[in-house]
Amino acid sequence: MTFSGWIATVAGWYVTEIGRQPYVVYGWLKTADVASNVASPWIALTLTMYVTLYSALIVAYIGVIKYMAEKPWPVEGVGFDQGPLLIPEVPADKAQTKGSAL
Amino acid sequence: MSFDHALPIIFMGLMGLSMLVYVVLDGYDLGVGMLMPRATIEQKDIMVASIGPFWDANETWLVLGVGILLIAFPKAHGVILTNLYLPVALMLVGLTLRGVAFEFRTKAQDPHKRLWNRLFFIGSGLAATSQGWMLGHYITGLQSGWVYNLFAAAIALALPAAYVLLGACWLIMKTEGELQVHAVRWAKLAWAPVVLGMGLISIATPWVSATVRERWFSMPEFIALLPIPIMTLLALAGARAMLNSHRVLGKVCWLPFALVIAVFILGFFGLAYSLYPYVVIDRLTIWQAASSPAALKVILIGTCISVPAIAAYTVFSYKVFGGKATALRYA
Repeated sequence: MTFSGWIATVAGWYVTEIGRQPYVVYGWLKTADVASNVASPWIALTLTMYVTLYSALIVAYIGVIKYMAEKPWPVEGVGFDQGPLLIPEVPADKAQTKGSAL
Repeated sequence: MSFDHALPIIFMGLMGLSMLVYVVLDGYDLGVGMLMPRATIEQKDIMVASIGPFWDANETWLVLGVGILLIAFPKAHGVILTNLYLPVALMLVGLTLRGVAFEFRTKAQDPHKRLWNRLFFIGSGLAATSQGWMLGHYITGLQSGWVYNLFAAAIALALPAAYVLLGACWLIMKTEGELQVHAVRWAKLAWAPVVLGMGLISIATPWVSATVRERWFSMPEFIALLPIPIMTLLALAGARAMLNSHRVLGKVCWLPFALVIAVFILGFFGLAYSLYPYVVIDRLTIWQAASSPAALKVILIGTCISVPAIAAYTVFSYKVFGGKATALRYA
């Protein structure tokens, strides 16, 4: 079930955006009429940039979630599922330091 | 002047205010991001903690400014964002990277933390540099040609320097001990390029546009406007004198930050005076670019609710999180 919520959200978004074509405002304004005149190689370049960036970020995101789900810190009575996120103290030689609230 | 005629002026003022607040607020946290590689691991945590409660709220001012540009001046939005397409995209990549790095660096395993720290630095630098490039092109009327690109490149270096200066002064105010001493040194390093950049803008804008030249260098306007450059120079000199003094580490640690903000505000007023009534200099006035009065009236109602709300939570968060920063922790 983990990622089903995401898939549902993204799928819903795709249905609205694709279903509305060729309009950008349904019945009023066609997408082709309001598209910018930026040269297509620039569009291709930025699209590649966004896809690459977000592909890398989703890998990192899943990595972080997996790492946090494994609860790598020795925790007493505190979990990631209980209220605000807590990072308990770790030995001083690790980088985490304690102090006041963020 | 009728209310319909005044509406674009009101929105121009609001948009200018949002951009000014954005540049000052996100300016210091981007500056702190760009200073990261110069700090030790423990100092990095304190630096991030010092901007922790503010940085994402700071960015909402950019959303507000560009949002007003889109809804109140759609024609200008089209011209400006089409011309600056690539730097805008690069800025978004930068802001995305640092936003993610900000969150993940606190949760990452030790070997990965260095990567996120580096990405936080790269994202901050990329966002600041693209903004400088955009500012350079915007104030010379979005014209193309190698001279304009050269000028934009100079501003693309000067604006990050200004952010670093602001960020270092923020750290002087918000930290203590060794880090505070470092921050004084960093501020001194950034000071000269900022002076150079402001000088460059002051020379380039009248040179590029006859409208600006006439507005500044005709009598008696020239004398009436003299306080703006003089006060800017005094604020810059005052900030430098403070940085050279030991007293900056004590009770008046907020003064360099305040003086640099004064420089930003004065620069903003100088620029606003040069540009008005244009939204794209010599090409598009605010009345030519504005939405219809009927649309602007509806937008004004929304603005009257949202802008005070944003201003209120901004003031509130700075009050709550006043004082010196301590190490980062989620609790």
